[in-house]
Amino acid sequence: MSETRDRAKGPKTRQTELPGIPPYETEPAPELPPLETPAPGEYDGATEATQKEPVAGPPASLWSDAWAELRTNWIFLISAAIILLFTVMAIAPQLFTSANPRECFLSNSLVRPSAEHWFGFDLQGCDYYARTVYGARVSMSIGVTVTLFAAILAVVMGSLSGYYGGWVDAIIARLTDIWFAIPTILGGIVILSLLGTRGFFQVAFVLIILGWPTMLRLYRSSVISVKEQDYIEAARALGASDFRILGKHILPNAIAPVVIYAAITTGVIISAEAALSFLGVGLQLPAISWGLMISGAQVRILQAPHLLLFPGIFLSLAVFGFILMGDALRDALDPKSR
Amino acid sequence: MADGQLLEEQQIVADISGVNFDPEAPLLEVDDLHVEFRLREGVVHANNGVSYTLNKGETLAIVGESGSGKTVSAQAVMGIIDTPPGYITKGAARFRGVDLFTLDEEERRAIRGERIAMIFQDALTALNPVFPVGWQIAEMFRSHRGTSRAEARKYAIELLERVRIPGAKERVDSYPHEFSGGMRQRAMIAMALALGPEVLIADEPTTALDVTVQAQIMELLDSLQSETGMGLILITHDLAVIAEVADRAMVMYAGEAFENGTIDEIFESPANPYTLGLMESIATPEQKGGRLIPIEGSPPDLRNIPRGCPFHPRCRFREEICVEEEPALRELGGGRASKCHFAEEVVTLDRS
Amino acid sequence: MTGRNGGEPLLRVENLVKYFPIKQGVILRRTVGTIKAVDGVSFEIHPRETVGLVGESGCGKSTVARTVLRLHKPTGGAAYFKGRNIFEMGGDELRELRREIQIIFQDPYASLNPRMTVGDIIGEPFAIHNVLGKKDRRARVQELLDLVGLNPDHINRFPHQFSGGQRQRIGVARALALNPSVLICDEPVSALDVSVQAQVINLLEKLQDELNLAYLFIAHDLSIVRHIADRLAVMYLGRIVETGTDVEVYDHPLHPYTQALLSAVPVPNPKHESGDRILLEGDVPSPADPPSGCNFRTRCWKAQDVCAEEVPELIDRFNDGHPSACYFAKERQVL
Repeated sequence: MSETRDRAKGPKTRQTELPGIPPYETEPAPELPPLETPAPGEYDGATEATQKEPVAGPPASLWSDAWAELRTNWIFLISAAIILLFTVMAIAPQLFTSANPRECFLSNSLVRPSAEHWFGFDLQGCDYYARTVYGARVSMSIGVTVTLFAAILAVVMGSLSGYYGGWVDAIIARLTDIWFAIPTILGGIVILSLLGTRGFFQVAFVLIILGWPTMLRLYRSSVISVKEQDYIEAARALGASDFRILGKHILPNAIAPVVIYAAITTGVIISAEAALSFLGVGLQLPAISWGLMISGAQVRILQAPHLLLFPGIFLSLAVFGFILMGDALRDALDPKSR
Repeated sequence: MADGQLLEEQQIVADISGVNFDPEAPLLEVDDLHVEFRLREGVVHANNGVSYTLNKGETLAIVGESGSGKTVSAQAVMGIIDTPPGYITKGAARFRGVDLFTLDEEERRAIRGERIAMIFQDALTALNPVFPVGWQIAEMFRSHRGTSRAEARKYAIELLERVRIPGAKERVDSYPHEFSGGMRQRAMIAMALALGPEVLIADEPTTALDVTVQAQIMELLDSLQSETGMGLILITHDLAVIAEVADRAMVMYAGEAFENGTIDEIFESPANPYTLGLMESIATPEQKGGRLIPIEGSPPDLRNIPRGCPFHPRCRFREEICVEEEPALRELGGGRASKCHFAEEVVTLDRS
Repeated sequence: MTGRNGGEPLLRVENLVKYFPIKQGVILRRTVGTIKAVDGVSFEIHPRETVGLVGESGCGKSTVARTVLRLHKPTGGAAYFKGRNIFEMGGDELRELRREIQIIFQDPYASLNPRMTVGDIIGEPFAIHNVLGKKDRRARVQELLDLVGLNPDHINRFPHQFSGGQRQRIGVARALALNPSVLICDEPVSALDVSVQAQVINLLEKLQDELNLAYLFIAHDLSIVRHIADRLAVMYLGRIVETGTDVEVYDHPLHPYTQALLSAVPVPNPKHESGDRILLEGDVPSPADPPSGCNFRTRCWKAQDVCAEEVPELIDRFNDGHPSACYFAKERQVL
């Protein structure tokens, strides 16, 4: 029986009689193994039992858990389908139409939709379906480019701001405060109307500089909350460089809100570009942009409603797809359940 | 003292019209309680046949580690389990003979707070941070008894004094975050006692507190219980704390009651290998050296409770039958019970 | 203060001070006060010895650990490791130090990066210090997993797939990767289930013997500290009030706070006579505004005027190698 335990205080006798009940047989229980006192050297519980202790399932990272959940989420599936559709449309519009959007014959001007030409023709007599399809390229590339660059900027500066705090943070935070005061579309209008030529890069540039403050603040607060975690301190105690900590420890754990926001932002940027082009300060002809097409359509809306309808639908659908995706991602990446 | 009398007068038992309470029945009797949570990842069997009795003036300790289901059983009694995802699938909880699960929400609300009260581990999250503490206590009187604001405030101050918060008159308007941890806990106790409940359920009341504060709070609960004669259920994982305060204890594991008995019985001659393992693995401040004898492995995932006896993977007395068959809760006489195929043998083990 | 072995201390902390400024303001942050988290702490740790640092929440024990590791910038004092002042080390020397002194944390759920595999977590020290090639690293990580009682095949699992006790073992493995000589254990079992605590404590004891480790064991659970520590220091509001061997402190406590603390510890024995329980009045003062002189005087039943005037030094008042910081220190058995 137990020898090495010092029972310091407390009675050593046990009750053999419970009130009203005859005492138990006091012979020792033969079928039980004696109370083993672990021999020196193996008293840490680190026996086979611990080693064989079940560990939940095969290797499963938090990302793969999120993915498993997304795969069955119909919101995700629908939005992914929409985004995929427009991506393919942007990369290889030839798959959707064989017509040339720039081949225009005035004789076809404002012809209504028909079986051979689904979206009819616009004022110049260009195949409207082809133009709408090619319009996806501009929207998608602006959306993705702007979001990507804004995200990179936000992550880099948000890391410095959130991790180091102090005057670095103070400067960056005040800078973003000023930026926030500028309304996006209005600011865009003002800046773009000052520029001479307005091509893809100019519009993208303006949207980037107007968009990154929000993403920065988002990432910065994520960094601030992650850096308080013990595993960050553990990494510092191991001697990890700040760079390593920011990249390997903080980034994967803080990026989720930015990913979600990026999805939504892409939709917003697409519609912002369309708005700017519609207002005449975005892309200029001969660029093919849904915004430009809608702009051209508004004058003739009663005559040729199809001019407004089709780019409008495509635009709405594209934006909707991204925002829906953001929704699905938010449910899957919710930090509370991960 | 006139003021003190005011408090006593208020503690007339408010009658829940239509409900027949039996003054002879035990204060609280939980009978074969089954609670499950239906989650996306699976069904969590939080309580699998929990039964216990609480009598007037008695302190019952419900002991268990994380995942033992001890808090869930109390929540079921209080009626504060969210449905969905929680469901009480079987069992009864009788307060003075009346099964609480058969009452409607109105009646339960009348009982909750008035007859059965609960205090929690973290007073900071249990108290509303945007209202002063005194206001929250007074609220109990205003909403349950229709007391006037001035009267209710007087009662609140009285209660704060009763739980020994110094300078009660000044502090009655302070906010929860302005109190220290121990003081907040006292304020929460004051709120729970406001309407003179017959049963107080304390869910890990001192786990988050320092040991010196813990001693103060336990002493307070003890003396309040002697004063009012209420039944106290103490839910905790700390065996040392219950040794001093509890009369009876129930040890829970994997959502089931593994052992039942008086405090002396449980400590001196545990009838269950799990209880035995717990006793042997805890350190005491009086003794140095030797080795702590741990229980191997970890408490089970409640979605995947092992077959047969839920403790068998970790039990050093395990036999064939333990893997195959779930043991029944065997009565050992005198209110003592243990869920183990070898309960009689374990209880007679010589542990000297 | 000489240790058990009498020889040169591995780690010697001298008058460590750490204050945190309290700042206010949006644009220009002014310092409106200071939190005196650590206010002059000194102790030594010898090889293969376990020194316990006990105290309640807010006493500064965790801050001591983090400041010694230079995770906080010290406000004053010195910490010598093998004779060299840690606070004066730069770049490379500091990196070398990281291999010698390591830490394990309290919360098994927050101390491991949830997005890294267990193998990466334990292997990170090697990556940071550029030690061992890839293949050797893997082998060594598996060795470490085995050493702490985990299955080496689980090397590619993620932390959330393990239980609390197992995660704590992973933390231990990570801390031991580079063969440190001192391990700081910051409340290593407080967040674990009772039945699992003993496992981890036993593991730490076994490893201490096998690997010749010295421990600074920080805890608020006095029962566990008694079990594992050779000597201990009791802290209150940033200062050490008493030090001694476990027998000296537990069986013959001198300082009133130690006595109150010990008497408050519940004993898991229903027949134990709690009798002489000392119940302290009032709250712990705020570390931003500690009392003058002895900072325990506001709750001490022995307090006199002199206690408010001068800070009592932590000195050996009875010539028995058992220092205390009280003008009225007197032995009193409370357990």
